[in-house]
Amino acid sequence: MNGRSLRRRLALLALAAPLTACVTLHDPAERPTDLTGDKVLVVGRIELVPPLWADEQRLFLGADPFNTRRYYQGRAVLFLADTPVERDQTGDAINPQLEQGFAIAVPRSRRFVVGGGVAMNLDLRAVSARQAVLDRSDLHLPVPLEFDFRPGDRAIYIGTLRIYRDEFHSVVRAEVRDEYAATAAEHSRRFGPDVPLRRALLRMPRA
Amino acid sequence: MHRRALLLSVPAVLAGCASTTPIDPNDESLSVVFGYFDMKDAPSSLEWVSLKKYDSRVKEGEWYSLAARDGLFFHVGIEPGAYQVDKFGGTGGIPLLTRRPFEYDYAAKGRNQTAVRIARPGVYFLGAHRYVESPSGFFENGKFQMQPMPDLSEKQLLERLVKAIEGDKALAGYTRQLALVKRRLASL
Repeated sequence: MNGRSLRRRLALLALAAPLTACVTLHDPAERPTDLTGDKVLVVGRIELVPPLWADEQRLFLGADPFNTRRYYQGRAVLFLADTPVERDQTGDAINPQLEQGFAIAVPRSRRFVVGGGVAMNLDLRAVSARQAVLDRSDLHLPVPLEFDFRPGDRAIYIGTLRIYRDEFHSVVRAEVRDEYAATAAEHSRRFGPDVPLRRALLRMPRA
Repeated sequence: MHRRALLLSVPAVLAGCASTTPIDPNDESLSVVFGYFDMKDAPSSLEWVSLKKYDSRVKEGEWYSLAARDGLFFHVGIEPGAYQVDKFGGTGGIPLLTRRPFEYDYAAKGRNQTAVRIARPGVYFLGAHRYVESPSGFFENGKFQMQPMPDLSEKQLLERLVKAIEGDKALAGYTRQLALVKRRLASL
């Protein structure tokens, strides 16, 4: 590797690192013991209509030593906050797999989704030995969304958020579908009677 | 939407992914696409515009690189599909001191005002838009908005487009496209 090539790689590394820094990703919960502290289990599902096709997301992240790609491939990133003010990024996020049910423990104070979406194009490219740029386009969720946490809640069902999109990666419509019965049965099997699931569909922004 | 100052000429980078196949002047499936960006308040001129195809499932030939002259940009060989401007750029700064290329990312948040669906061959106007600087943090890339220019009509820009095509020797063979543009102009 010559010096120029090394400098290009370092430029790419420097840009890739912040993608994994400074954000707490709340982990999926598998069992009741995962629900620690003042957290509420958020249970739901996110679907894209039409769904992503194979290789539709263009994720070119260079060397990617932190395997940042795994946070974007087939997943949404939802940034959380305690006030309903739209922001590009916050220090808290959840990272659910699209088209699959999720159960993620979220701090009770983080009741608003204030930004995020699905990365459609991430192209990290070195434009010189000293500079790399990240070309990025996202399917942005309509925000703010609100989790209807209430005192005493241990788990809430937020429904299936269906995002209808066009070819320009824009949301043309969004709706929340109630599939509580099927989800509650699965939840009960996994978490038992100590973590009751309350139906509390996701609150959408007004049109 | 973000603005970046770069250390390398961006057209050289774009050339690697843009469609470079020669345009067949007799191909009746192709369309003329044009638009206008006013960059008076931008830190650079407008030298190139990248038009991205959005409904393509193939990775090659996704972009068209459009040359810009005094804010007017156009292409005479666009295939049917869904497109919008995803980037544009130019050179700015003080000559010999801070002169460098700038790149403007116009499609980071989905659909923008230049989005167009081309189903049938014809002449498609992407609009006239003015660059307006937006507030941004000290350590952030510059931010901008593109505002519509209702005072600049499609007809005015078509008149400029006719002159641009007629005055470019490299486009002398594109009589079909010129006729399409003149027909559109006559209809307004």
